[in-house]
Formats: sequence, C-alpha cells, structure tokens
Amino acid sequence: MDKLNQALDLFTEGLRSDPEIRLDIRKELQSHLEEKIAEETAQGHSNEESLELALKTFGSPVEVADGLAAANRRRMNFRARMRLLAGALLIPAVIICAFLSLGMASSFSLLDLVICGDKEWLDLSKKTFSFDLFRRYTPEEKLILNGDRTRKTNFEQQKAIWEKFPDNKIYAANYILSLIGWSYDGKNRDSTLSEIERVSRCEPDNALYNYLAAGILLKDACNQIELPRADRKAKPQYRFELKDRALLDKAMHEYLAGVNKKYCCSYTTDLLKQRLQIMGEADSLTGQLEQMAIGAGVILPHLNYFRESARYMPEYAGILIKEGKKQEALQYLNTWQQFIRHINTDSDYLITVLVTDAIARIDAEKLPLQYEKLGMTETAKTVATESESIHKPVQDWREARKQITEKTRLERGSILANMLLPGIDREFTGKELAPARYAEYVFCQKVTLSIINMALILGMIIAIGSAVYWRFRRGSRLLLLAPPPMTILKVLGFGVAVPCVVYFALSQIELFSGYDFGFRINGTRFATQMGLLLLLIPVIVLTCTGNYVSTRCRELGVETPTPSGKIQKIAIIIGLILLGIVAFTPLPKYPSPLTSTILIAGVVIIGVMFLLKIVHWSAELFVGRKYGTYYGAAARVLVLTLALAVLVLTCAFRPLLDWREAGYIREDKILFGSTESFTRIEGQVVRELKSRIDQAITKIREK
Amino acid sequence: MAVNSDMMRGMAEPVILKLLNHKKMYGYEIIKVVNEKTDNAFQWKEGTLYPCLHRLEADGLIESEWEIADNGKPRKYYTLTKKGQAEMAAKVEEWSHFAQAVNTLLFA
Repeated sequence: MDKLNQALDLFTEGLRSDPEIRLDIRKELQSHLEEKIAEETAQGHSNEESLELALKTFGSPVEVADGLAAANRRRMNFRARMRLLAGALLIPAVIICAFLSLGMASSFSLLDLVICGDKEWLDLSKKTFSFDLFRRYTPEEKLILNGDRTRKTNFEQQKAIWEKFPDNKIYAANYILSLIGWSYDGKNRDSTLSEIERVSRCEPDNALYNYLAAGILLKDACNQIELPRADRKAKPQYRFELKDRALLDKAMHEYLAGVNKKYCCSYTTDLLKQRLQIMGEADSLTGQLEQMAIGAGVILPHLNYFRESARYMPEYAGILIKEGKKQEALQYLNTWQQFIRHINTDSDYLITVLVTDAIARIDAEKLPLQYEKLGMTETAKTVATESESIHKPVQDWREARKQITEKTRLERGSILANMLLPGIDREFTGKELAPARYAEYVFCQKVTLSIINMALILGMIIAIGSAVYWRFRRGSRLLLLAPPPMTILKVLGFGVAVPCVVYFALSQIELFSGYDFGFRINGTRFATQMGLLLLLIPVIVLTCTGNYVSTRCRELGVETPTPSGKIQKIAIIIGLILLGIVAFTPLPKYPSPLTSTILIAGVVIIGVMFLLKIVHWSAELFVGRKYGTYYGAAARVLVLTLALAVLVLTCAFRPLLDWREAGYIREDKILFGSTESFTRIEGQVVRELKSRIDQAITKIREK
Repeated sequence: MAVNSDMMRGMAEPVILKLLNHKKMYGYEIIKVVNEKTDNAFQWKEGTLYPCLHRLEADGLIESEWEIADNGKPRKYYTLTKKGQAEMAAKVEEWSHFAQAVNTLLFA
C-alpha cells in the first residue's frame, strides 16, 4: 500500500500548508480509492492491478493536486488568517482576563489584614491589584492617604503630611496623635511635650494639646493602683499614689488651660473623610471593606489621656483641699461640665461617646465627695444628679440593647452585619439586612468566577506546554484542528453559558438559592452550589472539547486512544446530579449536621476524583507516545476553547456581577457608605447619643 | 459514445447539485450513479470530481459530514444546502435554455 500512500501524498501536495484540510481530503480520497480497489479486486484483478486501475481512472496526480489546491485555496487562506488573528489576539486577551481575574487578589489580601495584621495592606498607593484598578493618585493624594512611606516610622510618615501643609490643623493634630499613639513610650516625655507645644501654636484655641500634655505628665506624676476585689464582678476600685507633685501641678495646669479654651478637636473624622474622598466612592464590597479598614485604622490615643485627666482631677482637688487651698480646689472641681462638653463635641465614634459616658460616671462617683469635703453638700447632690443625667442617654441605650432579640440579624444578616451591628440598639428587618447580604453572595460568586478562570488558565498553560512539547521535543506531525463555529458555540454554550444561566436563574428563586438567609444558615449549601459551578464549567468544557477532537481525529484517520474510565465518568455525572439536587432543594430552617456533611463530603469526593482525572489526563498529554498527533491536536484545540471560555466568563459574567454588587452596595442603608463611622447606622447612633448628652449638658448649664 | 472531457467541465456542477438534491451522497457514489445513469457516457477522471465538490462546498452550495458507513469505514457525505437548491434550479434552467439554443442551431 506504499504506492497508494505515495499517490495520496502527491494528490494532496498542494494542501501542505493546512495539515487538517490535507488530512481530511487525503482521507476522503483514500476512502474513494480503497472502495474502487475492492471493486476491481472483486472482478478478479490482483491487488496490484486493482490499484493501478484505480489510480488510472482517478486521473493525473498533477491535475488533481492543482485542482484540489485551487478549490481549497480560499478556505486555506481564511483559516491561515484566522490562526494568525487568534494567535495575535486571543493570548493577549486571555492575559488581560487573567489580570482582571487576579484583581480579586485584593479581596484575599483581607486575610492578610485579619491574620497577619499587615499594616502594608493599608498602603493603597502600593496596591497592584486594587479594586480601583485604573485609579492613579497624585503624589499629594498619596501623601495624604499614607504619609511619606520613604520614612522609617509611622509617626514620621504622618509628620510629613503636616510638614507639607504646615498651616493645616487636621494634619497637625494627626501628626501629634500619631506621635503619641506610635512613638511615645514614656521615655521621650520632654521631646514629645515640646513637639505638642510646637504644634499647638498653629491652633491656640484647641484644648486637645493641653489635655494630651496633661495626660502625658499625669502618667509620670502619679499611679493608680487597682485594689483587690472581693468579687470578680464587683466594680474595680483604685488607690491614688502620688509620685511627683511638681509634675502633677504642671499636668493640672495644662488641664485647666485646656478647659478654659474654646473647643477641643482631634480632627480624626475630618482626616478620615478627606482620605475616603480621595479614594472615591467604593461600589464593591472589597472597596467598602477597605474603607472600613481605613476607618478602623484611625488611632484614638487621646481617649485614654482624656480619661486619665478625669480620674486625677478630683484626686488633685482633694490634695488642694487638704492643703487648705479651697478656692483653687473649687476652681478645678467646677470644670467638670466644660470638660465633658469638650469631649462630647469631639465624639464621632461609638467608642468616644462611651469614653464621654465613662467620664460622666467617674464624675458622679468622685466629685460629690470632694464637694462635701468643702462643706457644699447641696452642690455635691446636684453634681451627682447632673452627672447622672449626662450618663442617662448611654444608660438608656444599653438598656435598649438588652431588649433586642437578635434572631432576624443572626438568620438574615450578612457576616459583616453580624460583626458590626451587635452594638446597635435597634431591631433590623430582613428587608434592611438584605442588600448587604446579597452583596456578600455576589462577592463570593465573583471569587468563584476568579477561581474558575484561574483553573481554566492553568489548563491553558498545561495545553500550551503539551503542544510545544509534542511539536519540538517529540517531533510529532503538526495538526492544528480548526473547530467549526457550531462546535465552538456548543462548547461555550454547554460548558459556560448553560451552567451559569441555570445557576443565575435558580439564584433568583429564594426557594432554591436560600439567599433570603445569611451564610450562618445557608453557608454550606451556598458553598456546595459554588463548588458545583466550579467543577461543572471546566468538566464540561474539557469533555466537549475532548469529544470534538476524538471524533475529528477518527475522521481524519489519526490514531486516537480508546476512551477509558466510562464508569468513572458516569459516577462523576451521577454524583454531580445528586449534589445538585441536594444543593438546590428548599432550605431547612437550620442545616442539619448530616446534610452539611453530605454536601461538603460530596463536593470534596467529586472534586478529588475530578482532580485525579485532570492529573491523569495532563500526564497523558505529555507521555502518550503512540498518540502524539492526537494529543498535540487536542492540546491546541484546548488552548482555543479554554481561552474562549475565560473570555466569555470574564466579559459576560464579571460585569454582570460587578453591576449587581454595586447596586446592592448603593441600596444598603445600614452598613455601607459612612464617611465618619465604621457603619452608617453607627454614625446615626453616635449622632443621637451625642445630641442627647449635649442636651443634658446644656440643661445643666442653663440652670 | 463517450463525451469529451472539456464539455463535461461546465456540466459537472449542475449534475452534482441535481444528484444531491435527491439524497446525500459520497464522492465514489456520485461517480457510480453518473456512470450507471449515462451508461459510462461521461469519461470522468474520478479525481477531478473532488475539486469540484470542494469548490461547491466553499461557495456554500453543499456541505459535508463524515459518517461511519455500513462497512464500518468513515465516508464523507455531501448534502445540498438551501443556497445550493436555489442555485441548482437556476443552473438547470440555464442549461435548458443553452441546450435548446444549441439544439436549435444544430438540428433546425
């Protein structure tokens, strides 16, 4: 049959540039000639005679070759252009998609923050894959966001902002708070005090600097020793111990100077607002979390100093009374309202309001004793009542919190809602909690999509490696199959569109999706749903592509391995169907440990089986010697179908998810979009409490 | 009597289209049917059928599909497309006019 092969080679000589077309036509001609030979042999001719006769009636090899080349030239040219186009556009497009997919890395970096407490995470200017990929900050904006990162220590970095804008009160206060929060260790007292004094000159009416100086001096002037408690639950009692009287006098002078000033302002919220404004409106959950993290990164070292001043002021008055300096003592004691007013005006976080309240309670406990020592019993009673009235708003708020049933929040709240809302004295409805919950689901869907993309890209890399290996290393015949448009549509339709569309359709029905509940209840089921999607897409894309390549190779007469593992395939399909049924059955109120175990075990088992299959198949791509042409061709087609799958997933579904997430973020009225507190609702609570405390103080002052 | 191959060239396409209008066929089958129906009047070089089939396929008049034949071997079957059906009708009409004109000239 060598002669037949030689003849077939001659007939198809003009098609050399397109191996698939050449093989296809060669096979067609071979089928024709073999039938003709069989017919001639049946009529009594020898094999050789039959071959001769068949070739003779077939015509001149040159004429046939020219005819075939001319007839197929247009098709071959078109395919050559398509190959070039695919090579030039597809790979760069996939690289862009991979880059966009890896954009989700910023969400994984949240783990860094939680687990490692990595401060670098907050450095937005250093982010490679920020949620706002194309946002470029000006050098000035970078400086305001992060300080000067070329400097070694945190406070020096923050100091750089003030140095750049020396008249700005916000940056001045930020520098001093950073200095105290990150650098002051008790040893560098004098230099710290001199820095505070230097900075305070740019804002002489702000009591903040006096209170900070007083706090620093008090730490060295006296000690507060906790007395042993009979009962653990009993309120802690302290013993005042004087270490350095001169320092105490100096500290209390600072305190008095502060109280007599017009206002006290730490500008922490103003700086936060500025920073968030520079970052722009975050329309993704990652962006919102980053903004919350920036808010959580605000340091409030001054609160401790405020409380120290409140604790020591009555003690100091007591010392003065003992020394007979009654007028001076009274002068200090009478400052309590003004001090609380100062602190309350500067309260923008729940923690600052609670510190204000703590100071009111210290006053209620300690001040009446000192007034009584001065013989002012009536005043003592009034002060006790008045400071209690300042404490009342927070007391009422605490009581209200105790009455809250947490059922709705626990069942329907998002993870974030359950982290940030327990302190809030309000019942939340399912409707109020829904947007943040949906945003979390969409976020997880985006992460799943990224993982699927990464898996597909990994598959592409393996396929490219295999194609190169077979071409250069093993010198296999180059066969580049060009799947027809319908085949490509079939692969993308069954492999990508159907699983995604079915999933999205089911996710719109609460009964199947369970999105009416939070992760606390629906978590396992949702994880299974995502796991199924994660498995189905690569499995179907690979299977459809593999089927096409096998069929085509058999048509072309290329040796193909016999399909194996049919039982394994059936087992995987049945497993996936069963898991699908369980994952999408209506949700029980709480998942039973049994269903959770079945779901997770199912995904893990099928995932492992699939992984083993992939590893086996990947190995085949490199070692199946006998079927080099087949594996080479399969690898090349896989590069195409996997790349197209990545493109469809990234270009069609990613924007859809981004759009839905942005919608939910905008819709939410509880958690997101706050520029002054961690959450919008906390801001509201703080404003209400602050206003009630302020009303109480005003009432006292009016009296 | 055998027909000159130059004369065959222009006729091949309408003949193939007409044959495929009835049923799907593979290359060797087309040759056999033509030979049977014309009592081997057309002395076709069988190899020249394929460029013709591929040209028609490239023009979208016919389409091909590999199928496994009864003898277990793969065969490439051709079928007429909708565009091919319209083209076939036009070609037959055209040939009818041409034959009529030639007949008028030669036998009138």
